[in-house]
Amino acid sequence: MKPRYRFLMSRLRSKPELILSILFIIVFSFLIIVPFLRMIYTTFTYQGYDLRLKRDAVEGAFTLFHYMRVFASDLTESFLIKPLLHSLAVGFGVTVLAMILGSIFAWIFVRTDIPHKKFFQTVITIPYMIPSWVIALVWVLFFQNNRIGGTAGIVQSLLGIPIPDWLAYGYVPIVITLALHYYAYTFLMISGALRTIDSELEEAGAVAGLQRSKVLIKITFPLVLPALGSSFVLTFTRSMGTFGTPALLGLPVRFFTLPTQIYAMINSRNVGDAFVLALVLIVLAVTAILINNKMIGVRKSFVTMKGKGFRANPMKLGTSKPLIMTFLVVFLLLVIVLPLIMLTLSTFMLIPDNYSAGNMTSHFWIGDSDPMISSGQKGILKNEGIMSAMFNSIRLGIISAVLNAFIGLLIGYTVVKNRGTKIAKTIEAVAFAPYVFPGIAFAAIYLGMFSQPLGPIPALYGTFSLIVLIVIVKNLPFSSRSGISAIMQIDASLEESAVTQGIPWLKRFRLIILPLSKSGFFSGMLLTFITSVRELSLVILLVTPKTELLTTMIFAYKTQEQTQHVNGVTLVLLFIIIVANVLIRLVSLKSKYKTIDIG
Amino acid sequence: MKKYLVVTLLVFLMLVPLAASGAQEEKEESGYPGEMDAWAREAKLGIYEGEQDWDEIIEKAKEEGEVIVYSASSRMSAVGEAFSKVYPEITVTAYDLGSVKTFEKTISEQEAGIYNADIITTGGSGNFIYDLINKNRAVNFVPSMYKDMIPEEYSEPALVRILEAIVLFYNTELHDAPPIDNIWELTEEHYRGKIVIKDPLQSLSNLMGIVAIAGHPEEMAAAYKRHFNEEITLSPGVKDAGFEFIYRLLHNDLIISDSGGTVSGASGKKGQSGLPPVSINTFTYLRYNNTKEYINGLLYPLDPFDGIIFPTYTAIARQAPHPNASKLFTAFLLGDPEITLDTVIPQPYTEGKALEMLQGLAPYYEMGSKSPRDNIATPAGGEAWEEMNMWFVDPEDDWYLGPEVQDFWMQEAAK
Amino acid sequence: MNAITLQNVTKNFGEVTAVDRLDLEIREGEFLTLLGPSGCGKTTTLRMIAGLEDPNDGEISTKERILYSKAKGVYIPPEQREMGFMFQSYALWPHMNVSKNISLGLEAKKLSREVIHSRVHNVLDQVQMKGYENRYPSELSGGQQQRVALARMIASETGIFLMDEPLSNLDALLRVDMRSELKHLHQTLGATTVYVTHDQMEALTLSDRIVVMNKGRIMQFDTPAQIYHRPKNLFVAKFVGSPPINLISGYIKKTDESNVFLENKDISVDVSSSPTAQSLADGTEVILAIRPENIHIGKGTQGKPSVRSTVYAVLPSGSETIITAHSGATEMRVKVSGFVDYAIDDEIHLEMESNSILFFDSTTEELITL
Repeated sequence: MKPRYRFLMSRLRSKPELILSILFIIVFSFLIIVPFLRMIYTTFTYQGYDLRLKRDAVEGAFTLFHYMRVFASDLTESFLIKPLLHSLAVGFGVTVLAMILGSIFAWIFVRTDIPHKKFFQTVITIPYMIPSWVIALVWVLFFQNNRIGGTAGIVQSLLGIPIPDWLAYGYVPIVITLALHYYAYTFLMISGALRTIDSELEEAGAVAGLQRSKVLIKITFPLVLPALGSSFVLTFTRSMGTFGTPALLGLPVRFFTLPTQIYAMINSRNVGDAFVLALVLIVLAVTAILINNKMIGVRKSFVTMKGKGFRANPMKLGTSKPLIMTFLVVFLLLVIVLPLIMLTLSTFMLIPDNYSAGNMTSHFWIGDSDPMISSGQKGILKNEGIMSAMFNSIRLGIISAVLNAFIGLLIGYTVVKNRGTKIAKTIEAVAFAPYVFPGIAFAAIYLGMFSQPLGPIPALYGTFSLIVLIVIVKNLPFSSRSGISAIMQIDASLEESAVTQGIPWLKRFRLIILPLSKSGFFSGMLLTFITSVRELSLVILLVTPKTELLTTMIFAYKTQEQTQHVNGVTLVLLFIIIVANVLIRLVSLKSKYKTIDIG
Repeated sequence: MKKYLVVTLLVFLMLVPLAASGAQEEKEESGYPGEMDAWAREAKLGIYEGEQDWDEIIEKAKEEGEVIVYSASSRMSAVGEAFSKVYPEITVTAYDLGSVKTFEKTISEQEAGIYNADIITTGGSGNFIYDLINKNRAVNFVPSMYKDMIPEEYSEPALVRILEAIVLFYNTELHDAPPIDNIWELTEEHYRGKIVIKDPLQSLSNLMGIVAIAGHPEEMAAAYKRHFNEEITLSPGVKDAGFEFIYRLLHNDLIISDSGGTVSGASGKKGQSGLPPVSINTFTYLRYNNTKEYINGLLYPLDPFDGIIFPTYTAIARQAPHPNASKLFTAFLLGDPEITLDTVIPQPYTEGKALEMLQGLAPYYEMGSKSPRDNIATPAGGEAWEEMNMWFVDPEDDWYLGPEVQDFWMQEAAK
Repeated sequence: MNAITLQNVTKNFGEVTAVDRLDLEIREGEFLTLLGPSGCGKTTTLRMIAGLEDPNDGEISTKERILYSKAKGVYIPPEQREMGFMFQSYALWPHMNVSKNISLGLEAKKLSREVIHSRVHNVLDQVQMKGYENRYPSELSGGQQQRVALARMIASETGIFLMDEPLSNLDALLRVDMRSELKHLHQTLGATTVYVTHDQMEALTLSDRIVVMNKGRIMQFDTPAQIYHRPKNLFVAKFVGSPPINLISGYIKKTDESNVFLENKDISVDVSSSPTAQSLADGTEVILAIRPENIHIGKGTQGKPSVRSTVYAVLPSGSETIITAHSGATEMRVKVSGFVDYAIDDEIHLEMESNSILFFDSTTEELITL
């Protein structure tokens, strides 16, 4: 027995990817699979809330109560069917619109000779950094009508054009405002795909006699299809699970979606029903992914990674250039500049919606506590609560960015080195799983799980570590993907040569793998930073006064209806995101490590 | 072989957390779990309260030196500062959590064996009584010098520190007098789309108001008869007149908003035309008449109720680390015991002499609220409270009817 | 009639001039190779002919029409030029099977289904890929992909084939095989073929004429034989021939009318038997060039051009042996038929064949002719 054991151990030691696999499987089952199982478990048992509805129920006992309520009762229409249809409609609407916008922009910036490409490309993704509900706020500002009484928005009151309900609230504005947020996401994916298409494939079409349009349809489009499919699925899943905007714009016309219902239920501590709905969302997301894989993903490895990518001549715009430039500039003004101006203005207005000069004040920024104004909240720049929240948010952003990048890289290493095995596929799939979890349900589960000590792990309830943990896990889908692709870029021979020279694993990782993946590292870190700092639904249940974050403060101010503080702190948040963006770009530019082109 | 190792580990790990649900605690004779019993004895709380010796309490409070408050209100920090001015030896840390999270934090922490909190104060009658008091997660404490000033309904089973009310507002620019005298008129055609309310699913207080309506079916039925001169016929699937009112309101295009400010603006903004909306709101939003130039008026008398009173309770958390400081703080919340109905309390209430007198009551003592003490005057501007015929939220209804009403609301609101 | 004519064609990429005022006339039906090192402009030239790259100046025309002319403002896009093109990477469309890869271009020409069908089968047969119609490129080996790309090009039946280093991604054995396939195909089909490669062996074996390019310019435009035996300049001499030509720098020393020597600090070679050497003035700085196969190992006969050297390495390769030898700082390679064996540091005499000796001007690097 002993020699066999020693043999196994020495084999294990020489294959760090195996050790990592086992490690990841254990950690993932704990952090991802178990919560999922607990969620299911909760839906099948009586919870405290249920005892109020059914006095003879026994807490913890097995029951189909929740499923009956959600799927087969009078409540089904309002709990499930209408919100589900609304969510699906929103999902499709947003995704289609975002993809159209994203494709147009991707085409313009990758394939045409439009000037100032670098500037536009940086700026065009800014809406993704703005929390989507901010765009919704601006929409309300402009388009609200008298439905809720009081004065109408700018368009109706200043321009005198009556705004119908369907334009001011509900489906249309929800889709438009969300699409204006998510198009940046689809833009990045589609332009990435367009860039990696081997231009020779299109040239071969040309020399074979195909006209430009035919080349586009028969060659380019099918090659971009996998990227289109992925971006469709990802955008669809995310927009279906968004809470903020539908809550803001849907409520006045009773346009409920699954996330708003889930939130309402969790708020009243009805976790049983809430988790059933969350499971519905998860099933929908998984189905979307499976459909995408079946239809498109089979021939996923289309994009020829021959390193040359797209280098053919850009399409000349000629006479349509000024038109397109104008379109771009107007678009950016409307979607970025205008909301920012409105936001900033509103933070200086004592009485909201009153634009007269006499109403302007700097109180909300630098004022001291005045009990008559905003319940005595100090101006933002003097407010210790806000400052500490800012510190926490930045901390959270940095820690999660760095840790996620490392973990993502490690996952990438594990998956790529074990490529093809069931272990690799499992790890990859499980690392992606958190994507389909509605943030708020995920948080509710973690709350329950970590309220007690679990073996060696103390109860993390109320700690900053729990927030960091959940943010890291929620970001795993993204960081594992970028980690995998980063490692795939590194030719195996580079590490193998180090192995033959007897260099141990940690050193190899540090001196070879890490430096070579630096470029993807930085852009991944930036994205994680932005996502973490913008996170709300995931953390709202978990923060305590000491661990307050900027987003939760915004939410709290919103509950207290202190609009100037809401908008002001939002601006602070945006400022931090933009600064981070600039800083990381500078650092990554300085770092000279690019992926080495082999062959 | 490796695979099996891994799989077994997996299964084991899955079972551990799943199985880890709180074990039942053993209770003492007192009804308190063991740990709590010892604490209650030492702290002289609950059934061990006995005679309150305030000299001893104050002295011990100063030794304890700290009070930690879980509150649903952002004004509690101001109270903390005022308290520390009077008792410099005691620091106050107030956590503004909002009502939902106050409950959740308290309960989650206690289940994890963490007993950090001293004072729990929030609204949410059903939750407070049934989930905290009745489950021994907090004990009621009424400082002895106030016992005669506070009616029993405001001190048992838990102490109320401030009362607020859900009322209706109407637009005084276009109406000289309240436009309706019976609440059932709101279910009529001309009020379609003209009633605004804050989302009860997001606001516990508004929910309590709706639940209270559902909890008075006979009164609602009688009011119906008085208005329509016939017996009420219930819509299909509706349980009673209380629910029927909610049903008809929702189907009369009731407008739901997520912001109380917007709601009060719906009825209160100047310059409207036609039939202005009626809003259902918290009494204290009347203050926007001063700060935002709204022109809301209180809509009463109204059949069958002018308003619905809901309390904010306060209690001492189980195994509070600073029980005596908590007792002292509780007293502070109720204001100087010397105040009588004749005492003139100057405005602004949050400063100077008024602050000295009102103590912990000061930030909450505003137009549209009322102290549970029968010897403190109603705050200026809200005197109507005294003549308004208002219902009081019944914790039992809130607890047991609450979910049913929520279900019903969700069901009908989505149609 | 020339199949393709290039006049004064120039292409710049920013600061870099890739093709510099190129003039080229390609005859109908010939196999012309553009040969040169990386970056010499050969691929750019090919792509400009195809229309995948636009020149900055000049004119490109076929016998029927002008394809590009800056002066006359003519530009015909690649899809209308009717030329077959084969990419170095094959550029097979990964989402289509073999049959579709070939037929896509034919469909664009609006040919009937039957014609397309039969053509596809014919070309697949010609490249020995019959039966692979339904396979996808990812399922094929490199050599098979290459043949499908070839088939695609042939199927267009355009009469002009442009090939960009089509064999460079294949392994050595396959490359040799494919060379004969290509040559056979060219002769069967009779199409004008413009072929780009950096492999001088390929150029020599396949071409009717070769264009040797360097830095965007033509170094020599001639038949393979001429390029091999009479390189116009040092660049061509060095680039063509494997192992590379031997070069000895030195100066002419004429002791009297009949005795001419090439001398440098290490060696002195009696080149009296070379007529070219006789025509040079005393003291002229020259570079002597002689191919390895034109040297044999002898005894150092008087009056013959020979060099004494020490063996450095012996590389037998079955049918011949290449010996590297040093004379001081000068290194020379000898190609001997069959198998011979020498030890390192053996002293040998390298005797050159007088008529095969070439002289290049040290300054201009051009061949000195009589």
